[in-house]
Amino acid sequence: MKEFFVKLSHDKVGIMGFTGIFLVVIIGLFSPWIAPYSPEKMFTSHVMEGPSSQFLFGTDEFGRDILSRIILGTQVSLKVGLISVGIGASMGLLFGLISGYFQGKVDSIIMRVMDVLFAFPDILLALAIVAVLGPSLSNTMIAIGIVFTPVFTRTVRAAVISVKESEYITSAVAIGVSPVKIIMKHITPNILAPFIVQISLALSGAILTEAALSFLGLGIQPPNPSWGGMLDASRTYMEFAPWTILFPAAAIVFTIFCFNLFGDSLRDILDPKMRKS
Amino acid sequence: MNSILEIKNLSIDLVDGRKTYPVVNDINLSIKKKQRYGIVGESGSGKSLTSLAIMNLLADSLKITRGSIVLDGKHELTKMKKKELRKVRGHDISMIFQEPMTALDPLYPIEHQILEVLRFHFTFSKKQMRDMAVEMLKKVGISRPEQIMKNYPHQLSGGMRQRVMIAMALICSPKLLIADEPTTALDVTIQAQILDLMNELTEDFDTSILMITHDLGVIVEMCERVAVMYAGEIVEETTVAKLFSNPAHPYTSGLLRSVQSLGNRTQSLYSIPGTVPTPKQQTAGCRFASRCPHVMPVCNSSPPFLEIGNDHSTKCWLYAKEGVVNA
Repeated sequence: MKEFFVKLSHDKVGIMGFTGIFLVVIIGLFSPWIAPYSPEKMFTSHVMEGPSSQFLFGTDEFGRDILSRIILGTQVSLKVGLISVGIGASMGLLFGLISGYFQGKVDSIIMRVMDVLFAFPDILLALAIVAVLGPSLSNTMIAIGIVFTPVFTRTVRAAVISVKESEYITSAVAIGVSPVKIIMKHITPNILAPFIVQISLALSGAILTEAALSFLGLGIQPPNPSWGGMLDASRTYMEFAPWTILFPAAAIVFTIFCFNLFGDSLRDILDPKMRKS
Repeated sequence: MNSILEIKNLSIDLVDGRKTYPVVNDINLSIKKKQRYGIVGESGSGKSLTSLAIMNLLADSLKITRGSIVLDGKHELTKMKKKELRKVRGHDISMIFQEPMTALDPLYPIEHQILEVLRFHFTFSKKQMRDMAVEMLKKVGISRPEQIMKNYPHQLSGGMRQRVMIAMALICSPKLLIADEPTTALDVTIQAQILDLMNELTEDFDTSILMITHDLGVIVEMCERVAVMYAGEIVEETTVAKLFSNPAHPYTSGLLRSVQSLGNRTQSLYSIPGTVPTPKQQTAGCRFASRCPHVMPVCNSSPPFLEIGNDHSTKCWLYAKEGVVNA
């Protein structure tokens, strides 16, 4: 852990990503206190006003403060990102471990199901799942979680297969350790590096997918603030009120960018080939 | 019954799709209590597979098709249930691997890995187990055991790791220790130390050794009895002294001639012409025939395993006449 932070501190791009994420998380955690106004409060005399000292990012078609809505939207985006990646990662870990360790028939069945899920474009699959479950915050998270399961399953399975061939696993079997213990104590800790990198990259993907779903009207339902939903609402006014679309889009780009930078630097740090021992 | 391990007619097949290829063919051997037994052969002769079969660690594509492996006269290892097998592994039979660099889990300190063996087979308190581990590390010649226990594998040298492996293997005082090329990855001076250590410790613990190696030097140093394997078969089986003074099978003589010695500098090193046939190339008849200097027409059919002298058997047609007379 200490070694990790030392290495991160030498990676400028990684620090940028990490700082950005830190900022976004702080904003998300304390959004009700940071936001200057309530995100649902309508200033009827200030409809569609450009940025001013009273409304830093301007107001939307109902006279709501865009800055406050973006700040509250941070919370939604992070929540969806974390929970849906949590769902996808834990299912992927489970299936990947089973698939990689036992191989044979179980492996074939699990991997064929994952191949089918993989065959759909992410957004189409998420749309289909939300359409079946009905649009709501929790269903959005479940849908995105399912969409991300195959990537995690493949990552984990590949790592398990390579670790399983190591001599220390054979020697653990030769000592008499049971399969469950071998999976839990020897295989899982040894595959964590690629798994964690995958999580950091999937987080940005999940936030983006949520924005896309909300944009299409199947994600977070209005009047709850969400970045994708704001893009959708301001689509029609973007020619004469560009601030309504510019700032939510900038929030999405900034967050995704930070997560990707951090994910890349994480991959370099955790890559055993780059490690000096 | 004073043999610790009795292998009878063991055959292992490699399953590749619908085809099967024999990789170990009809092996018999018996290891007595406190005996040090060696299996020597080239790469691909099936010696490692035989050792893995004893532990039931064969890969899924390899199947034991015939034969029995009996431990201590009572446990039939090939038919044992997985749960019972786990009790035997590490407790009655333990194993040392070739690569000490990769045989320890990189994420746990040494203490954790040694205690894992004990925790699995005994119900001592943590303090007792730690004392046992320290004691054992002292016995394998590690001078600061308390400190080493806290180290991770990558902080130790190859020789140190192999000592730790030996400590882990012997801490439950197993009846049989299988050592699969335990010194191949180590340099020569460390190799000698490790072999001495194994000799000493197995004496103390009343443990038999099955030594798998390609190095005849290791056999001379360690073993009392030896089986020579070639292409999945045992071609000669006798005491180490007899093998060296009076090798019977042409392959054994070839092997002995290919050992470097200090005396003859002028001659270039002898090597047996050809290579070991792969399982897919094997034909009926003697498997060494294509490389044998004494090949005869009769070698087209499989030679019998003949007793050619007191405690000395070989699988070669050259001795068939004597065999017939003996019968």
